[in-house]
Amino acid sequence: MGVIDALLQGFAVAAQPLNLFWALVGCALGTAIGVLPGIGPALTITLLLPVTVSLSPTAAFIIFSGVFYGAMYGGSTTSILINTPGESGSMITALEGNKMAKRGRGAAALATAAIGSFVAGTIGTILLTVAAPAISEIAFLFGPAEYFALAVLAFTSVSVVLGQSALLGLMSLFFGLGLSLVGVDYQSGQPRLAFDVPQLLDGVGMTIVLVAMFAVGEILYVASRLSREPQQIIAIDGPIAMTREDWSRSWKPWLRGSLIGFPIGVMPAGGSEIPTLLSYTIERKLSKHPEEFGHGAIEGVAGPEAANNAAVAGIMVPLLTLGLPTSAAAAVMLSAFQNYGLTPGPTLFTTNTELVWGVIASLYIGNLMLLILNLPMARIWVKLLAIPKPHLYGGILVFSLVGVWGLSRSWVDLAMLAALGGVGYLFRCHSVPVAPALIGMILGPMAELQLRRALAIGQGDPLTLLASPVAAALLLAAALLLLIPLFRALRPRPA
Amino acid sequence: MQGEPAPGGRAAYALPVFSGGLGLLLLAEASTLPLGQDYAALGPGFLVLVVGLALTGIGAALFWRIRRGATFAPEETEGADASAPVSLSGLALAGGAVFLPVVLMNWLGFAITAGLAYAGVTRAFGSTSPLWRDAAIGIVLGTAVWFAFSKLGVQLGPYFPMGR
Repeated sequence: MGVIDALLQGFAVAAQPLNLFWALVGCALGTAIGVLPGIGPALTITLLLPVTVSLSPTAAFIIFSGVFYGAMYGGSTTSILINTPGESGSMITALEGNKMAKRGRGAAALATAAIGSFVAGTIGTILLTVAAPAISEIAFLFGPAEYFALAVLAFTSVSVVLGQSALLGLMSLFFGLGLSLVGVDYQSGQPRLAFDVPQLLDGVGMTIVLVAMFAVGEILYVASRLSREPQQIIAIDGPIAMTREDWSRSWKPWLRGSLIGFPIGVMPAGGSEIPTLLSYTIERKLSKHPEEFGHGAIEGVAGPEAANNAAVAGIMVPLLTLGLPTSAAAAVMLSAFQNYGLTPGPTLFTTNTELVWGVIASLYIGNLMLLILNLPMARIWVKLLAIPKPHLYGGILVFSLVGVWGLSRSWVDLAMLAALGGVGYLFRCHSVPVAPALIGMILGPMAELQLRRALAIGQGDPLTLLASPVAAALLLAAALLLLIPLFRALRPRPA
Repeated sequence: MQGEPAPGGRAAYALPVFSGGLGLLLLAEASTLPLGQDYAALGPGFLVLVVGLALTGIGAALFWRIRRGATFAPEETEGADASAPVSLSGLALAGGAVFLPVVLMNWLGFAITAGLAYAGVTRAFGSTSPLWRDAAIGIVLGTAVWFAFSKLGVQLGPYFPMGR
């Protein structure tokens, strides 16, 4: 079956009225949480997990991907109008977009962000459509040693690339790996790190860790350092549209941003911070109006916003083809797949064509919905910011309690929520990135399983891990990544 | 990353204590687990040992770096002022609201416990309306959520279990 046939079949699934409705729900929810502070796509998908158990996996993943894409759109609206990026990928947008809004060009900034997101999201999804089946074919050649090497590469890159210090990233990673070890070892049946607590024998639930690190950690952190400054939302006059000059200055950054964002999103630990920063730097170099950068240059909004959304499409590639999450939200989606008893990877494309292609097709539809939801309706979404902070964060805690208490109604879960929430607070106090912990936790069991398999096949000889060129290359790349911060530390410091 | 030791920079020592403490805990556990296994080469203790060594090592490295003056800036996040002095009362109130359900959930059931936790968070975030009003809003919200999620098939326990 060719890619086109498969995609058409996917559209037949995605265009069913009920699935269209779920896509709309996901997109609207995603935009809302992108606008709201304190709650991001990873947490939203986690909190949706209990609700979606009664839905088909296809419907659930259509909602999840709508949330994932929608959060990127919503985040840019707040970046531009109040200079607070709702999520990390919108940080750069806040630089130029907010300056534009202050100069009375908010409408143009919103328009170039939304249309650029649409262009990049669509290009990214086309690239995903082409690349994913091809990569999933390659993945058939992967054995235990290759999967182990891939996991190690994901671990090191996510730890080294994110955050201000590799040491903190590695601490986060090993914390997550440690959490993944709690419970009965599947191979020997021996309990590990359970400390005779029966509830710990099943391991620490991903939901608890996510809700604790994202929601509870955030509540504690913001409560301890509450900003007293009132938020100032810049009003926008007139329709959200662009002039002819805006169009001619925007379209090239959109395309460049898409082409930068997608491949970086595909790479392990690409995430959306690096492509946005890279796109911004390139646009500043190429611009005919470099003097405007820092004072509201439209290219500085168009490029990074495009890169941001293309990266999200890129992140879907390793997730769907290899079962490899490269961002926090992707890690949650992977655990959702596991909840449904599905294993993302090459076999998913042959055994669950309806699910995979239905979700990919719904990404196209979702992008169009998001353009409509965001372009004329940006003003309506901003009204969400009128919810008073105390009640917003109180509500986040209530929904967090639903997510955790609904799991098994155990007070041990609630105690873990409080304790891990404390860890989330500690991480925020020193800017320790949270994503490595989540990826360590979700990929840890896979890495251990594949390592044991590889060694069992090689009869205990550690050199079998390097026997295949692919595995050796991946491990070498992982080792090189670890050397980067070392060189950075040894480099003479600027006075 | 590097810079002037921030006032209250000693708080950064929490990181090596956290990492090193966890590392030692894992090492203690690893010592009780078999490292190898005949047919599978690796036993259940192997990864516990690796992670324990890594966390201990990272803890030591962090301690050394902080002693040499490295500081780690607090995170910039929406609604928070990273440079503001830490409000211990806000932190304690929010922490209490998070801890409350551990004790109360089995007694008071989901709706009321969630409502009280909600009220605690509104206090921590400087709500100016009277406490009874926030608590009432919380309990109404908790009740609505309890009904809605029960309808959706999420089991949140009896409405008012009283310690059952």
